[in-house]
Amino acid sequence: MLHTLQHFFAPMPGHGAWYFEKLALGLLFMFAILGALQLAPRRARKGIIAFFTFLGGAYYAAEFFWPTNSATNQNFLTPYQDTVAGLASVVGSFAIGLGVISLLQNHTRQLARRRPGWGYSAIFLVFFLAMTVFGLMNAYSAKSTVIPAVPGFWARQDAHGLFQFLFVGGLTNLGSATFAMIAFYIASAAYRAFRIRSLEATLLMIAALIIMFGSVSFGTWLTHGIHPVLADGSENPWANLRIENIAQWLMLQVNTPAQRGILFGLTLGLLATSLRYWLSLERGAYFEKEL
Amino acid sequence: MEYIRHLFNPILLFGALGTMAILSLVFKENRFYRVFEHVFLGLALGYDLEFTWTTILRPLFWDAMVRDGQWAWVMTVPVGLMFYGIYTQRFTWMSRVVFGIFFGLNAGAVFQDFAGRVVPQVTKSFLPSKSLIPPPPIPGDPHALLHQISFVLNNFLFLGIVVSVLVYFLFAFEQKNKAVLRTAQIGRWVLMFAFGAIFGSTIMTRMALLIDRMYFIFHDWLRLVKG
Amino acid sequence: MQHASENWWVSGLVILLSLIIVGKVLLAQRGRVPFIRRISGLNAIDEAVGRATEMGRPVMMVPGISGLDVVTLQALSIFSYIARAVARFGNKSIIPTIDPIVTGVAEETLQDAYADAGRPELYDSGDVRYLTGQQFAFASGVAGIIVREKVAASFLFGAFFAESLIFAEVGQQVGAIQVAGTTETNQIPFFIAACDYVIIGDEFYAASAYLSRDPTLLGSIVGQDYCKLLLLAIIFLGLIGVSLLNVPFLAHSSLFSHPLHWVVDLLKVK
Repeated sequence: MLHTLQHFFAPMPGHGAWYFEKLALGLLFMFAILGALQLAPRRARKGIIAFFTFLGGAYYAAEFFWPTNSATNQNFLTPYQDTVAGLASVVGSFAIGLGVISLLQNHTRQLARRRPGWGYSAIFLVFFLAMTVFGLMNAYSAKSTVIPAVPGFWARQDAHGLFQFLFVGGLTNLGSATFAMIAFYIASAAYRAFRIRSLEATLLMIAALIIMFGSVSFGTWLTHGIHPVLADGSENPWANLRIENIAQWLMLQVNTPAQRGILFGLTLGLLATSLRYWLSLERGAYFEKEL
Repeated sequence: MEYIRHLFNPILLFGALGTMAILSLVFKENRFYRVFEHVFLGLALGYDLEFTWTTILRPLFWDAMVRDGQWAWVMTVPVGLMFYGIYTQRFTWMSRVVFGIFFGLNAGAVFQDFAGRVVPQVTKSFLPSKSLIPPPPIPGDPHALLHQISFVLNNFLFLGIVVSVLVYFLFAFEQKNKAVLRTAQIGRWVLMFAFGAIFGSTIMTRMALLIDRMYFIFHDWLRLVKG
Repeated sequence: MQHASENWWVSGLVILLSLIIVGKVLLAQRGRVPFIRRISGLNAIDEAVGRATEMGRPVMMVPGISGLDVVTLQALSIFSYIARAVARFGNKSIIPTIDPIVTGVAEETLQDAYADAGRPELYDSGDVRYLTGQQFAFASGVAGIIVREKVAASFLFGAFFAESLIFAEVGQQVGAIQVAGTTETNQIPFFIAACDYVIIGDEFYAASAYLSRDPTLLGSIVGQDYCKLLLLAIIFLGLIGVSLLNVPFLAHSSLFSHPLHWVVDLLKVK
């Protein structure tokens, strides 16, 4: 039985006999399942969704809990991890259309109705198309000419060159610039926190200052007078008060346990929420809607 | 002439204009920013499409199915189509089936995550170095007593912080009981101190990013700075 | 730890914690509705939505920048309560998203929330806006939305990373009331500095229970509390164990030290 199944699903590299028939059969089979789901009574729909949700989670749960072979540290489900991950990313990738449709709808609507700012939608669409086209050309035939050379003005441009222009010149630099914007914002956020006169904000900024001073040379210069060793060669207990040592102590003795406390709470929250989703116990408008 | 040509190097010019446009948002929103915001979004979406095809769909789905003859991959197509049920009245509910599979896949991984990530943090909280009774002093240590006292104090502090933070995060107990209320209040103060530490350690790395962009503009592009 | 069989004590603990949570949920569904404490940041939701409506400006909600995972879903379920308030006030919501699947779920959630509040006609297909899958392009797009739409209330819930401060500071620039909560502890300090109300740590997971007062969700929160107490008890026991091992008399007596070592090492994973 298992052997027949394996044989049936076996790859057919040379597109041997029945390859196209099997493709069609596979599609038909899946559409038949979808049709059957659609024909199921309405009140069964919640149950169907719950069943598939449970099934989705069951693989990883079972793979974790099923006892393993001590030599290989694997159980019978482990070899399929790549397949399951692959299936999830392929099916998940089909969803990209949801995003693209929603965006294109918005921008083409702006353009068609000439709403204020439609020019920006045009810019968006031009760069979107350029990146998609040259990106794909770069993947398939990077060397093909896109813009022929005009002597005295420019050299021949191939797909790879244009992709580089858009990717390195545009995407990467714009990304780094956006990231760098945070430097300004962190300064204005710190300034605002300094002005709030509450105990909590004060505690936050004191700790921030200590850590910052502990990591810059100006800060360590402030307490460089406290020598780490005494005249007799033994360690100086007062050296603990050097700013870099206070900063280190703060990270290890205050930040670490506080983070651990938060982590316990957060991961228990994650565990509980995951269990609610997995077992379809979750509540809320989305989950309680009549289907 | 050579310098002018350098300034108009397409990749550098695109990057430099884009960098200035994006950073201008810090002062005020303006058309320059808006143009490059839309350039950025367009490029990013195009790249998403290209990336999804070349790194996921082409190798895992198309090549596997067409080149390697793994015909069964075709069965993922109808499943993927279920997402698009949200655009119809009749099949909306079907999108929830495939959303549900993804909810499940994510939720099912929680057990391994918890065992592998959280339990070690529990055991780390009672390593021998966290003992509340100090180990015997190292012979010849001139500050033996001081070391023992700081060992105990540090470990009590560590435990105290874990406990007070956890008590702050208890929801089911009304914080009317004075002991609970005080512990939770201390927990909140400690949290603020810990958040400050995170804030302080991030400032310098963020400044480095800005310096890097300034270097790009003034060194790589304008060549006003040497080195 | 890849598999349960590497340490059955650890796996047993995970199962026990899961059973406590599910048990509490089932008990609460049978009518034992528990109490939970005040979470101050969440009381600001109505105020923020109300003020946005008075100013005639929209409400923005960002469900973080991770894909479809439990954290994002939880953010969306918090948003479904906020969206109901938005619908009651007759205002408009904008939800920018970074993931196509999340876009789909967010559209459904928003529609259901509006329908629940009796205002299904308020839903517009442009309310949920997929921008791109890339972190900083998304950040720059959201910043653009905040300034152009002049959002008056901004809710940032979910998994945020470095871009958190861009959203929060740009929101500050346009004077939006901001309520934030994230599971990424490293971003909380920036939210505290730039937002009006911040919920911390697993207050994030308690939020939907707090807002809805639904017995199932409340039961789950209580279950989590019992689990925290159990973890604390384990830490205390472990600490007593390692501390006793430093008592010279006990450390040298194998009668005590062997079982102590065994207990202390019970939950160790290679």
